[in-house]
Amino acid sequence: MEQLIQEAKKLLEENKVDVVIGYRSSPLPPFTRPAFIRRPEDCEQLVFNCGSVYNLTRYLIGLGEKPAIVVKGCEQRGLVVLEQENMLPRDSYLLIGVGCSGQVDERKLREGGFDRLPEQLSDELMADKCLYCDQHNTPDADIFVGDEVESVEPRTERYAGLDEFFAQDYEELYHHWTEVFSRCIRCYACRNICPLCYCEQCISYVNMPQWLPRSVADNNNYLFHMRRVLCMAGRCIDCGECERACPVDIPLRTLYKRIAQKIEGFFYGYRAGNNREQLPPLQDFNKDDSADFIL
Amino acid sequence: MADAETTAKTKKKADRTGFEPHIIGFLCNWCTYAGADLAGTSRIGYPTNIKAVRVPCSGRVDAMYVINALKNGADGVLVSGCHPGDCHYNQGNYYARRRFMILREIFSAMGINPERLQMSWCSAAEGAKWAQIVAQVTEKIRELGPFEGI
Repeated sequence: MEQLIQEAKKLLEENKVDVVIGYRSSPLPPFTRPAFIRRPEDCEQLVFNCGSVYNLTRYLIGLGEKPAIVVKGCEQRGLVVLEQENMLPRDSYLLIGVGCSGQVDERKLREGGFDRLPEQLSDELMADKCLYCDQHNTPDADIFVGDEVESVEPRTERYAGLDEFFAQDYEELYHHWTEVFSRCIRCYACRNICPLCYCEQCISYVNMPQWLPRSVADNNNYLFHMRRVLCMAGRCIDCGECERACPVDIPLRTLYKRIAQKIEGFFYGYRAGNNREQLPPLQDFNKDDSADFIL
Repeated sequence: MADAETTAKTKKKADRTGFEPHIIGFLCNWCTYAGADLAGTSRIGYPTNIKAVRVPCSGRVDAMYVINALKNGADGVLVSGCHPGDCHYNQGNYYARRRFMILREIFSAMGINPERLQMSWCSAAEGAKWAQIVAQVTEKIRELGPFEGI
């Protein structure tokens, strides 16, 4: 990643940005750590590889400095959504684009011990979202570093298995989710790591009225997660960070993806962050929306 | 608070014979609420299961209102606004339509029967239609039985 280091150095030396946000190596390869580089001589630390799993766009809102940021193709969609919601103007940061051929999945790696990582990241250790990735190279980048990755055939369907899973009847689904969410310890990691959660006061903290009671009694976890699905409806870019950060392995993306799938069907193939011109479904309306459920 | 909750729970667990659904209706001030008024002044009877909440527009109804109503003991929710094109604020009902389309999908994905959330268009002149809608919704919720989720 010589080019990344050179470009970062140049940006800092020419004072085009105050900070370069990227990845640096960690004591636990293949994983990396987020790096905030402010001095040109520190740029040597920057790396990008299959362990650069973190979605760094999370840091951009309220940063207060002009950043250049390393963003993978899938995460760039989040920046588009933030721009559509007037949270982050496009000229407030410089986008360093990279070619990404897939990221490692920590859980899959853990199952077989950390020594299992071969030279080339194989499909069986790759994160699920990478198996159906259609955006290997960051679009709309100000600076593109490294080589473009050739697009490969998706190995799984984006919404694989969802229709079968959600074909269960309501009672079964209800019990399934109640049970899954009873594991939740309400650490709010899913919310805190989400690049699209930026409310200054989250509704789960609002006391008067208290929409989401904080105790774990009475299925309140279920309620909290229902609210999160609602927050993510039409916005989730499927970066997979919530699921990665969850300490109790709750399959959150099953729900988010199901709603995304439905929205894609309802609203003319809408997919969050794919197109700047197409507004998120809940910010917009169409007079011809389906109305078959209305009496 | 705890007592009130326990009572609500016990009430919900009541057996289905003689089950009378609690339905919360969010009615748009400009049409459905006036329509319900018209039903009243025209002496058209309709089921008393519905408890009306007047809101400025169906677009004002936050999805959390619906979820909270269900959480606090309602068996069904009806959101009713102006016909498309008739919204007092021009577009509120279009936004509401999308919102509840999605909320119904969230309900069915998480295992709540989406039929518990009903939506209707009813103008200020449609007192008779309002009575018919309420009867229809009450019948639907009665068939579904008491809501024991959340």
